[in-house]
Amino acid sequence: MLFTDPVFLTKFLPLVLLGFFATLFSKTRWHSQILLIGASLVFYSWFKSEYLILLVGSMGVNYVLAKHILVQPGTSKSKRILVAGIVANLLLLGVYKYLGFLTVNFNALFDLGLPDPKLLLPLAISFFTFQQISYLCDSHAGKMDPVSHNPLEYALFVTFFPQLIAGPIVHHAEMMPQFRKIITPSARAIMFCEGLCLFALGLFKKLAIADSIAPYANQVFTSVDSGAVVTSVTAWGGALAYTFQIYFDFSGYSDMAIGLGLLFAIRLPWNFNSPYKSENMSEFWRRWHMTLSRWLRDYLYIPLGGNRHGKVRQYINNFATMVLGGLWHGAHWNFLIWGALHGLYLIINQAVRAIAKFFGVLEIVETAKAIRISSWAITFFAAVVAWVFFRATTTSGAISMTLSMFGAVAEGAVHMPAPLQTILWGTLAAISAFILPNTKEISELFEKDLLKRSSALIGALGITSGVAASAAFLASLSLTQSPFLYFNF
Amino acid sequence: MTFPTNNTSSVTVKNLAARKLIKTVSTFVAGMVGTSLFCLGAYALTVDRLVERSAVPATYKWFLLKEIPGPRIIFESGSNSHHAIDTDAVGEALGRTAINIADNGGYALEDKLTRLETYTRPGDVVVLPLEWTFYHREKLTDNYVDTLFGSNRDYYQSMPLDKRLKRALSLPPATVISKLADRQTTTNEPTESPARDLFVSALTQPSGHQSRPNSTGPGAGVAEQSCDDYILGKAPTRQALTVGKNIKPALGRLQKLKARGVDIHFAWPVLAGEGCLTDPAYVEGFRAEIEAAVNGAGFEFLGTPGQSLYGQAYQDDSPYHIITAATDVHTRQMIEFLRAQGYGAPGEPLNITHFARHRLLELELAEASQLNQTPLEFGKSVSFDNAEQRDQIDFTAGWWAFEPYGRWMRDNRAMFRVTLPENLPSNTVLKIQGMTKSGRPEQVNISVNGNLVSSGLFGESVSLSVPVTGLPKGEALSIFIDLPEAGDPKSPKDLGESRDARSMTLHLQTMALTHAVEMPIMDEPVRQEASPLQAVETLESNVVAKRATFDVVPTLNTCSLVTPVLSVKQTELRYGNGWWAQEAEGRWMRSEEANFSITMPETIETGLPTSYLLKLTGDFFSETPDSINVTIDGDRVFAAEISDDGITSIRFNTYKAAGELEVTIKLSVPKLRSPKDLGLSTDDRTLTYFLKSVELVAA
Repeated sequence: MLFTDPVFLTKFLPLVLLGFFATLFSKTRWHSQILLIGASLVFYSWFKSEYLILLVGSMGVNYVLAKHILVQPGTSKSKRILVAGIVANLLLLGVYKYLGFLTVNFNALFDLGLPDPKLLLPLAISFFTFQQISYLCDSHAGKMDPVSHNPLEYALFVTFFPQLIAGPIVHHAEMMPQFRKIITPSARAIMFCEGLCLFALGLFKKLAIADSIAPYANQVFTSVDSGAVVTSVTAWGGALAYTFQIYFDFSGYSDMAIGLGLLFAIRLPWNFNSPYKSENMSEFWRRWHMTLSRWLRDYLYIPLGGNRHGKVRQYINNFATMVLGGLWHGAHWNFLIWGALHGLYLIINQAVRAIAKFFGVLEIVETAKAIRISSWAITFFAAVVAWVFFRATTTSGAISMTLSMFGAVAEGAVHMPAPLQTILWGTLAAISAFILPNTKEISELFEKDLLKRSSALIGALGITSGVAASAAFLASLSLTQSPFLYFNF
Repeated sequence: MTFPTNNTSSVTVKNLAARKLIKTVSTFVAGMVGTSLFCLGAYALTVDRLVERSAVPATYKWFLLKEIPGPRIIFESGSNSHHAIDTDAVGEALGRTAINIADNGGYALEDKLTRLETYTRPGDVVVLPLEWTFYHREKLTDNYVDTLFGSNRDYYQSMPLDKRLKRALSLPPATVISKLADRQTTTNEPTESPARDLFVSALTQPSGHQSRPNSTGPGAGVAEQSCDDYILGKAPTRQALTVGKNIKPALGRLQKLKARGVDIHFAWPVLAGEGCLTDPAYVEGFRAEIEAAVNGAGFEFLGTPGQSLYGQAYQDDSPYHIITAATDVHTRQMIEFLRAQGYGAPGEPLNITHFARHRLLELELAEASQLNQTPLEFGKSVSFDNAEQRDQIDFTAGWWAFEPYGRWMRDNRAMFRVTLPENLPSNTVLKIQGMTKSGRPEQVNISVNGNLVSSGLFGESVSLSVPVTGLPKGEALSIFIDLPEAGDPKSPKDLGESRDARSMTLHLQTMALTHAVEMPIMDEPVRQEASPLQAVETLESNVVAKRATFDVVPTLNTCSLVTPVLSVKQTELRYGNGWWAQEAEGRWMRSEEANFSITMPETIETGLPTSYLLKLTGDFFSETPDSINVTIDGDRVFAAEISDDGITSIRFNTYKAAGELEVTIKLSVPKLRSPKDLGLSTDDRTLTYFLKSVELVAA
């Protein structure tokens, strides 16, 4: 069941909402928690019920491990349990996500003839594994209150259906207190409106913008992956199309998830904040897939040493974090290259800043308009190039496309003109990504005491949501729809 | 939380906050819901406006379903049954009208059910040899969505409001926008005689079935894949097939239809080719699921999939399409299945062609919309084949398409509409010229706006004159032509002339508003230098000159003192035998001999012979003949003189003072030749002399 499925929109969600509102009359909170956990498990099993056991098993094991860690957090015993937990989680992830990749590559290197396990990737495994690892780590680090560690809240933290499949990757510290928080009816009502607005905008971003651009991006990348050489214009067209597709697809999904959370008075963390407005790569990663960046920073980069051991070590840590971050997206050399490219971008960015600081011109670099515009253009350009490796399904295809983008075009290169629909939606996407306020900024209008705002503004927000919802509905009527891209990860 | 009863201020504050909250939330929700409803409503309305409307169904299949009276046996599915079930044979064998409305396997099952719900009647029998795809496909196909606005508009128009709304809100915006753009760029040309394509079907495939005598060879994508791949996709896909979610509700709808008195039977679609029904995964698994669903709803299949399977030799262009040899077998089998169900009974199926001939005309007439036409001009001839003047004639009903020299009526009745100009002379007639298919003059009744105004013979030599005096001006008049004594219309195919299966009756070529009587000579400005006696005599002659079928030019300078006459320039001859079809400037003689008749100029009967000069203007085809003999009125032969400017003149005397002169031309040509013989074109007609005009003057 996708957020865009008619079954979800017309049956599942209304039923769960009705049930949820009914439980609000109950004096105990666990009614609503049980309802949401049950709904989340139904939601998950809708995709493939076989993997429900895996999810529930993983959740159960991690809960028990955390419980043991919380008995004496910070001790060597708890550390051993933590390590065992992390290993178990990574092993599970590794088996399903990387075993096939490793088998193929070992076979290629050493001619071992190992059979490819061809395991189907369980949906959301990357997301719920990371969330549970962070929970174990924080339990060991003494950041958890043992009293708050109860099975219902833990299960809801892991499975809450708006974020279960593709994030945002939530942190227990921002989720579990909300399960206990008393929310006034007025705040709940406003959150509900905000949720509706965000969900509508997310639907629009996904169904109207991303899915309208997707066919052209697919066409170009399918061609290069099948060995065709495309012209420079086509290569740039395809790369730009995918650049906007992935942003509007994933941020649209995240907006929907956050919107859904708000319908249940749960505020999920923001995942995007206009990343294509970034003026350098560090900023890009503070604006792109923010919850993954946060997780990588807190549970990989900092444990690796962060910037505490000198510049060179910092660069190495950055590079390693980004490469592993790339691999998190999937077991393919292209993801590794994508991560490495971003690691490299971050190193260059940090080196340039260090040099500017050394020469005392950092402030000028950060404030001069011409330099800022150039920095923005370079950052965007670098991100576009990296997306080629992220999207292409073959490394040769990605290299061929990159070469085409840089003018190394062989004779007989194929030109694929973008259809008018792609150009129009691409232009709208660019304006929206570069200039217009993002959904986070729109959402803040609700958060900053909506009741004090004028009826005209409230009405305008309602009308905007209505236009977005109906445009998304009409766009969903397209006979070909793209799945959410991040469902693959 | 409770508040002290005496603390009114806090109550007020809370109430205000609550009211503010309600107002805020309701403003937002109202804005969102209202806008959504407005946008979706506007979209649905746009779709509704874009779908064409017509009283005449877009396809013959729809005509059959909507109009043919029952009780009927109706075959509904995709194209496989269109070819596989010979409904003419079914109807004949079972003594009951059978129609084949099977159209395309890509169309929506839900919409097919809607049309059955709307147009079947108690006593009808519906047979559903649905293609396999109908049982699992839930989405609309591109082709169906694209055609729903035009050729498949009847699917949409037959829906009740709720289903129309649902269908409108299931059509992708890209298609709707594209149709909107098409609408903006397409000029709204009037639909002329919209049922003519349906009429072709009524003549050639009256019950809706079309057979293919020979295989046309595999269509696109057929040869590259096995039969099973073609039918249900590649192995991994077809092995996972299950009955679609839409089948259960569809069966529920059919149960309701059955409860209304419509008998329903399922059947298996025909398949022809190698590799059909070989994969047990769907032959057994999917089939079992389908049968379970269908049988569970109280219906049964006629036969088994194996009984609908034919060899490669019987395949036309796809496994779903069979050729006639298999159709005959399959139809016989279907007849037996239906007979076993108790449907065979002595009786006569409806003559669908006969029914369609009349009903299609009525539908076309119902379709006729208000017109804002360019009026005809007095004295100006309007050709029935002239595209530039099409805005002056609305071919409302009963016509075939335009041809180079006019337009054929397809049956014994037809209607066109013209608008009269203001300020017409009081004695104006609308003169219509053309010919009949039979070659003989036919009795024709003309009604204008429903009133019979003229009745008489019409043919190549007899034009129609419709009096228009007193008829409304400036508004479209309905001119209805009826051949009351004609039998069933014949086609060139019926007559063994060609393969053209179109039935034809009258071929109308030109029409013009003209005087019913001659203009008096006094009105003519060209009386010059005539002697007083001549003038007096001329005046007298014009008093008796009342026939006004031709353009009349006074010929004062050429008339004799004894027998003053008016010369007649015969721009409109009554051609007899030996001519090819009318061309823009005249007609070709087919061979050495041809005849025509002309009306003699009015004279005063004196009892003395009058000398005339007959001038023929025209061109010889390949060479000037050795001699030209002209026979006047059957027995008198005159040698013709040929001048340098190509005018052939014959002088003769006659006692005849009025009436028709029969003229026969005989050429002496060494050899008959065609343009093809001379390498000029592909035209293989033998041609001799091209007659442009004839003039008869007093000599």
